[in-house]
Amino acid sequence: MSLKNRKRLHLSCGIVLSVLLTVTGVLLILSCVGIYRQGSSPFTRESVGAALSRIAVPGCLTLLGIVTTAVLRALFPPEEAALRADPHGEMALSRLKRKGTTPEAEALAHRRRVLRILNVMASVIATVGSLIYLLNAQNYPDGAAYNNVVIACALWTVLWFGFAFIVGLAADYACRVLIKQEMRLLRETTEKAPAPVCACPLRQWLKRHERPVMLAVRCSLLVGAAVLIVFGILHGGMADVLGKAINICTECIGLG
Amino acid sequence: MGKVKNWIRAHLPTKRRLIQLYAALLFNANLKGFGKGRIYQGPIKNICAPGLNCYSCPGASAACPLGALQNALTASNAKAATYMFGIILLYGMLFGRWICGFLCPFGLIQDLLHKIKTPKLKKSRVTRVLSYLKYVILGLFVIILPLMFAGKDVILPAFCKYICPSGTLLGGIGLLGHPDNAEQLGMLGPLFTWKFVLLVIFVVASIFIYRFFCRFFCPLGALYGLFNKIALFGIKLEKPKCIDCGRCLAKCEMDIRHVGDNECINCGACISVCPTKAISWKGSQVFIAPNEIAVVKAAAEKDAGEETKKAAERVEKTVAKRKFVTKIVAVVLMLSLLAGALVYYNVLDKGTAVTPPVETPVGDTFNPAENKGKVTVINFWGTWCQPCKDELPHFDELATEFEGRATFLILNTEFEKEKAPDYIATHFPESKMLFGYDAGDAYFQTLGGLPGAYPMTVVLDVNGVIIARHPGAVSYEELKADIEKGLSAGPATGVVLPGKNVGNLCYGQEFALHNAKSED
Repeated sequence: MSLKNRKRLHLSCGIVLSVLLTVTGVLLILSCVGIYRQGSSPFTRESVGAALSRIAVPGCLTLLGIVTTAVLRALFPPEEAALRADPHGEMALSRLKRKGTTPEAEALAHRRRVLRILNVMASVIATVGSLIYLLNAQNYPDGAAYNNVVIACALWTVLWFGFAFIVGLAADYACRVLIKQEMRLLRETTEKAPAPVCACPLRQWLKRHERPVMLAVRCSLLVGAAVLIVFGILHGGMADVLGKAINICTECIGLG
Repeated sequence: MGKVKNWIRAHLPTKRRLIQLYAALLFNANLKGFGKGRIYQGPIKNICAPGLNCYSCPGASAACPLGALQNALTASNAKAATYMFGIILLYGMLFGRWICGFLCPFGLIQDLLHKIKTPKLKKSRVTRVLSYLKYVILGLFVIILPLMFAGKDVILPAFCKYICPSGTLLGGIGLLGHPDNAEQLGMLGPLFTWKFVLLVIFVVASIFIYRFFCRFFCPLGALYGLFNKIALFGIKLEKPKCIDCGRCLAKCEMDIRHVGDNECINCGACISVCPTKAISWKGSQVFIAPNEIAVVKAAAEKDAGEETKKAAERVEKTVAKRKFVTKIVAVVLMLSLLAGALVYYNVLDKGTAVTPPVETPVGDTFNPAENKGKVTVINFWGTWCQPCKDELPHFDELATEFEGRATFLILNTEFEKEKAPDYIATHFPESKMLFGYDAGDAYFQTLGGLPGAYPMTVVLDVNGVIIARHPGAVSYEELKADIEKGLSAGPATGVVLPGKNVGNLCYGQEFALHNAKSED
């Protein structure tokens, strides 16, 4: 079979299998919700068994699809996909910058740095905005249903971080545009000056003493971990972990 | 035949896959738990597994670090959380996100799901920005919510309760899938429905999106990622050798900016595509001594002599021998550990961490046989269990309402016999209920309780016959209806309960009570 036909075969099988998987997933969700809406204590062996038997056919078709696709791939192996280029362009830019840079390219790089700072500020604002609500004890009234409180906290957080997400996406897109411009500039220009070295003395010192600093950080964190563990054991932390772990967390597994 | 052989050779499991399978088996070594529908309740559960593995899974041999961390944050003993901080710091420092790539059972499940051959959604700008969601989940569900509710004396492991798919899949379905636990199905409600929907979404999405849960939702990965650069195990990039070709980024399916950053799960897929061999495992130089490195470097020079090249060849052979010996020793040790774990959990381990007391319990005793003529409500609870604590005030109300006609016997596990009296003295100082502990948790199991699954409430009528058993929380109205039914019972006939035939109550069982008011 030619490579083109193989590609078409694998694509069609993949699409059919994707549809089957999605349909089975949706049916599973609808079955569970359907059982739940039947009334009090709706989950029984009979109701679960009836729901599973209803999705048996699409489930079996899905399994068959998985096996068939795997067999077809074994019999007609697809062409190995080529590695995609770096989707963000940063490494390609870095490669170009090794040969030197220009003032115009540096100006674009500066704008990218500003965008990143804006992105970080948006995240900080979102964090502060969320924390103002989350750390306010009045939002956890006594006697309130836990689920309602958690949903309120989650919604508030989603609002703030949704804003940060949009800003982050926009900044990322803008950075990509700037990277493309910078790369075009660097390719076109033949006279380039070497890339400026970071003037920050702390960064330069850290670069020169990377190994001993890393060793010091690792040793201190390992010692700190050991101290915390011993301290915790002496103050009943281990017993607390055991006390919880040997009992079933009914909420964690969805019971109750 | 040759084609088949080639196919098999090309599809043999990689070393990474073998390590993942090994870790999944080691952290779920209690295989008899799946057969019996029971969790392991032994002392080894005070150790945490490094990956996401719910300790309510029947096979779980160790505790889950995330669940243990949330419970530690809500514990009344603030110093107890230091143990969990220390454990997470230790794992992070040693392994970083190498745990995600090699040791996490749920990561393995996602890797296997992703092998199903469908069109895949590749990483993009959106997925990179979305990868920060897991830090939000870490902050909100793992740290802030448990701490804020702990201030209200409420235990809420928010991530485990509302999001964790490992709990639903391995714990919920793993336990409830066993025929002996069919009775527990009655405890399922809106929470399970929500968690099941989430689980299906995670499972289906993992087929199309590589490591969907790990990349966007896993707070444990977020925690370990903070240590990635300084961890002892993992991937390292030698910057002088790097030519910024970008092949590592193109090969990687995680949202990394560069190899070894906090999104990198240290799977090692990038090592094979690096043209300059700039990427390697940390500690890979441990097999070669500094003077030997000098020999190899000298041999790589253009003007290296024959003697130098031969010396370099000898060094390479020695290093290869050392690596081989180390591999053999490591494999033997790992297999011994696994074999030991399997034998211990499935053969040698006989009981729970709780042993019946050697001395006679101190305090009053309660004999159910002397309670004939009254309805008896027996509730099993624990201070770690929020639904248990939530329903106790209702029991207190009913105990006052039915005083003289119903006896409420509230039994905590023996494991908490030191801890529970303080809670009772604080919250129920003047209660009409009788408090005690169930020695060896024997009575709980006699009455058909799923070991470790609290709360459970059993109602006996005026003749001492069981008329209702409620696994899980019971509402005020339901319990009141049971009590009224018990009060109007006729002559004893014995009751056969669906699922388990427990029959009449075992009279003569004595409970050790602890009186909240008196000093022992």
